Amino acid sequence: MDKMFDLALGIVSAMGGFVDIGELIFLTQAGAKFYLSLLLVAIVGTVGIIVYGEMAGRLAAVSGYTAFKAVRLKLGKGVGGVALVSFVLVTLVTCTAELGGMALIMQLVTNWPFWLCAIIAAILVCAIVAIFPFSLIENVLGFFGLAMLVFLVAIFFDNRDSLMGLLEKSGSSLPMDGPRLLLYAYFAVGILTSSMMPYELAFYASGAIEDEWTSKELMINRLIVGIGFSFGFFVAAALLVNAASKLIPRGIDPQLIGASALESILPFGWWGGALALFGMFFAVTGAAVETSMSVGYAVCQFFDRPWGKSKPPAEAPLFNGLWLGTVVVGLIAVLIYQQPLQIAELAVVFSVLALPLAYLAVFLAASDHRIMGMHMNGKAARIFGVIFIAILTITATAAIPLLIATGAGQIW
Amino acid sequence: MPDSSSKAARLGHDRIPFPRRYLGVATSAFVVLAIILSVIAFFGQQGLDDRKVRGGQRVLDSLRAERQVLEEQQKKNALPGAFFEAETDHIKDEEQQQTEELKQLQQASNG
Repeated sequence: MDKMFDLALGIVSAMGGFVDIGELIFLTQAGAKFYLSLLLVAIVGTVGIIVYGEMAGRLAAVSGYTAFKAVRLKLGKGVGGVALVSFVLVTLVTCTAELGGMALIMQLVTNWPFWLCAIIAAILVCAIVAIFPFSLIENVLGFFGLAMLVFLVAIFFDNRDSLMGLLEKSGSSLPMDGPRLLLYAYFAVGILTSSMMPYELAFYASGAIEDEWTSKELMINRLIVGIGFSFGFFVAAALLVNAASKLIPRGIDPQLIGASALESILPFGWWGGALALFGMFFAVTGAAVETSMSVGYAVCQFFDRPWGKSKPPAEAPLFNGLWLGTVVVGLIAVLIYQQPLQIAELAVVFSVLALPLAYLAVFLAASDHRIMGMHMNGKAARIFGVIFIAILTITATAAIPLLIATGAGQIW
Repeated sequence: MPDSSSKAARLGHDRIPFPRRYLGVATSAFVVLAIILSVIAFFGQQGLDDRKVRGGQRVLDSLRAERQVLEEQQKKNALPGAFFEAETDHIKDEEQQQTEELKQLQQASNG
């Protein structure tokens, strides 16, 4: 009974915690620019995080190895160190963007000054990480994030185009000339990366250790990533579909986070807006908590230092100092440069630099019989693993050139 | 501990032969390629002033459209909390910034 409850809770939190600030931005903008034509990329990204989430969870449950222990082991100190430094930097920027996103959503409800909302957001994140046990951190925020299901329901209301009409327009919106093709590729990279952010892998694998998973939990791991992330994808996809069906007909190409909430306000009015803001706030808060803790996890695991929520702070000082430091640096950065959505875009694009090496290490460790025994990667996991490493390597090489070529998605 | 009697064990230890010593070279090669592509992208987008102006104009049009939708929803009392005031302020700031950028682009495009 307990296992069923854990499973249900895991699926619900994986679903509710699937969306973060990067997805809010890229999916809404992509839908408002290219109708449904980038939905396929979101599906590819979801398959990628399912394949690698399952692999990282299995690796942790069977061997006790987490993502960055695998990085150290499989890539060595040199290249592994490069992977760690790039991970820490992009996750720090991502945490900054998530804190800014929390502040912006808070501002939409209270109209308090941005700086005040940002400080409250940082205090809230610190309080959650410091006070709550790990099981509450991973489940409660994801559970509240489920309010974003309102976007999924909104798909069926207040549409100016039928599904067939949207599909036809999606075909005709495909880019025909060079600059538009680059813009399309830029959003494809953004959507793919925001689905497979490196902190998600680090947090999920560390969570398996925090929850004391063993090989008995392998089926739970498979079901959580398979069902939870798949349903999470539907919520994320709803953002794109609603942008195509509700925002384009009104001439809106979303530049602000409030435009995402409009997708639910237009069909359902006040309560639709309230649910959307509530869900968005907790989804982004969950991501802020995960990014801050992931920095602590990654560094401690790489250098083999004590880590974890179950340990008192005095026993894991580096871990606790790192997550706290991440929040403080993120707060200072967002107060200095008060453009969280631009920071989020940069975080997503630059994250791609940390992706291939971290994913490669997990893949290699999970394919090693000495580590995994009978639970090593099977044929399907190896084929999909290699395909996604190839996709991520191409994406990593193209991401920054595309950012420059499209003026961060502004050249039309 | 891993089950050494499994079929996988008989097939060998590390199922993915991985030449780690080449990883540093491969990583450096991709970084160099990304830098070269970034330089090409930088010079390539220099000649796209008309597309940048069109992009900036599109943003401004979108912000005006969003403001109009917000006013309609406000009349219906459909906006929660301080959504109308806060989002309208955000739109104003964004419009100001975009107008400035657009002016500079148009000047660069004409001059």
